Amino acid sequence: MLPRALLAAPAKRSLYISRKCLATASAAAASSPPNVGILLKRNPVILRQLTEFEHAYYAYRDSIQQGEARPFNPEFYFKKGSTAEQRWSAAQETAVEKTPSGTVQLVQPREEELSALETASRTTAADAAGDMKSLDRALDRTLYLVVRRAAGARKGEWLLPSGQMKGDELLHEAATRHLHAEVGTGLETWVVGRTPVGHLVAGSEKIFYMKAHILSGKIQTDGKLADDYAWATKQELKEYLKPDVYASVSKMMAEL
Amino acid sequence: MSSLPLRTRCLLARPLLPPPACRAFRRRTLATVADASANPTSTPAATASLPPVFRPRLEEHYYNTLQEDLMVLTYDHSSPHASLAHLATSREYNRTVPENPLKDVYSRPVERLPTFPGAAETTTNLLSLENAKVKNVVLKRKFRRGFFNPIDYTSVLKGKLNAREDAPPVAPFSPLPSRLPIVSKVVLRIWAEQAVANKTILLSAIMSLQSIGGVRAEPLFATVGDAAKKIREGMPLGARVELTGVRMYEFLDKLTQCVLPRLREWPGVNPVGDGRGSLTLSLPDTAIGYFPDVEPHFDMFPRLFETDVAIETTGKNDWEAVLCLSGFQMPFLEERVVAQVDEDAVDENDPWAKFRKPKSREERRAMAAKNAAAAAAAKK
Repeated sequence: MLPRALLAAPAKRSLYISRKCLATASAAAASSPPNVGILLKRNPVILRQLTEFEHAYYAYRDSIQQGEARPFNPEFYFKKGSTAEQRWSAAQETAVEKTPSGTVQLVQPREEELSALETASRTTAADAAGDMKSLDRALDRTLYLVVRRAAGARKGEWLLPSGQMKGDELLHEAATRHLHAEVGTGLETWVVGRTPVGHLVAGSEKIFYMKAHILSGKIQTDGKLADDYAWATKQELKEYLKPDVYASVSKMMAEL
Repeated sequence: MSSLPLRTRCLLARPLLPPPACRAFRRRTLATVADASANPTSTPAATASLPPVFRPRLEEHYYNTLQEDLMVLTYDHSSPHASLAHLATSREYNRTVPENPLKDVYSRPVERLPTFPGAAETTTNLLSLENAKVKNVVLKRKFRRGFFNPIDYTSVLKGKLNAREDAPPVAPFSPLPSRLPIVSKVVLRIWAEQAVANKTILLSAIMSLQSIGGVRAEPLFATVGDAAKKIREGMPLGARVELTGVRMYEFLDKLTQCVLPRLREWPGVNPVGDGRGSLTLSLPDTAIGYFPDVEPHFDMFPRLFETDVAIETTGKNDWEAVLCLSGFQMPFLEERVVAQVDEDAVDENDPWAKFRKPKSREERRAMAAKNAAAAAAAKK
């Protein structure tokens, strides 16, 4: 990842909103510090399936490029009489297909080490089982962490992880600290910058959400703050979050 | 083309197939593509044997994930263009995608298409003032003082003739995708002055650029002569290739995944560019051999050259360009390495230094103070 020094914005553009400014803005806000929320996401692992139009467009473009490309000259790439050349010639004898532009499609000889590899399927065991706690589910989508509150006013509710800010800490520091408190220290995460990506006003409390990526690790909830968790896509979050909460929070999420 | 010898024809050919890949690259490509042909709901069986169709993974990563992160990281709340009031006036912010976007594209009448021969847009462009200016004029004789205007032969001051417009001021930050940094172009360049003695080594240079870029490379010619190095103007001494779009993303992928991790005693890319969103890194000749397009056929390249990779982004400064490229896993140094010019250093070998007049009042005062201090020290 980019080193800390380079992650920070240039000095003249300070993104730190001092607590003093917050206090002078409104007396009510000065009494209770704002809450920090975390939008923890696991990025897509595999490329998404192209739509029919996209596939047709890219296939068309590729066929034009193949038609306009200079013909492949095996004499440059294979030495005369070498085993590589023999394998190549053997593979071309099986060539039957024609590209859309009319030339015969070249056949690439399969290497031994690649023949042993099996292409993984797009859907995993976790997909089939519907295991919401697994990070191997929905590989072409973004997954977001949602937890169930174990204590407090919102006990039993499914929410994005959030908690109070302590002392004079900044948003991104509070986000890291609270995330470790809620889901354990077994995670390697990266909080994106120092700017919140969204906010939610629920009654008297204001929650400012910080975006974070999960890089590796497993979640271990200690049961004090959160007793259950799930990794859900944007559409699945509708079933977990309340409608008004989902309406504000869905704006922070990408479509994929 | 057929008049050239076979060896030359082979060297100038561009491979039809996608290049054989290094292990990690190949495994990942196979895994990420995940066989569209295996999916029963996808394309018909006739295309199952053709190379799979997919968008470059770096491009997908940028538009799905990186772009949002860049917006958060570059966000400047104090910018005048960041307010909602200003965004309401911007067309991009208020853009709505219609339910059936293709219908709008295809319902444009033929006369309004820009490719229509009699279209007003193309005619106006041709007759614009910019196109009327004389461009790329090559003067046969070089005049020592001043230059003449080739249209009416009046003499024009050199400075005035070659004057360029100042760059427009950098647009303040606005949270729009068009303002975010994205990689736009990669230029690979080889400059080999050894080609003075032997022109044919450039064939290897051009071939290596074509192999790693996947695009036809062009030779570069000397623009100025150097008698000491026996260079004459117009001699072919280098090669270059410009990569955009799919080829650019594939090249960056190969660079960061296959080549840079294997470089020895290489600390990282210097995060210093030209201040306008371009970064350059220099790959040693050994690095070219690590590309998956070159490594299996290493013997076919008689000579590999040191290549300059110039990556152009739409970032407005070094920081934005570095931020964008770090999202593609480009390894940067922790500290910027900038050549320091010590202005206060006095050249000890300069015999005229003590006679030179200091330029400004402050400098003269500083000199006087220094002399006074030196005199006081000498007295003691």
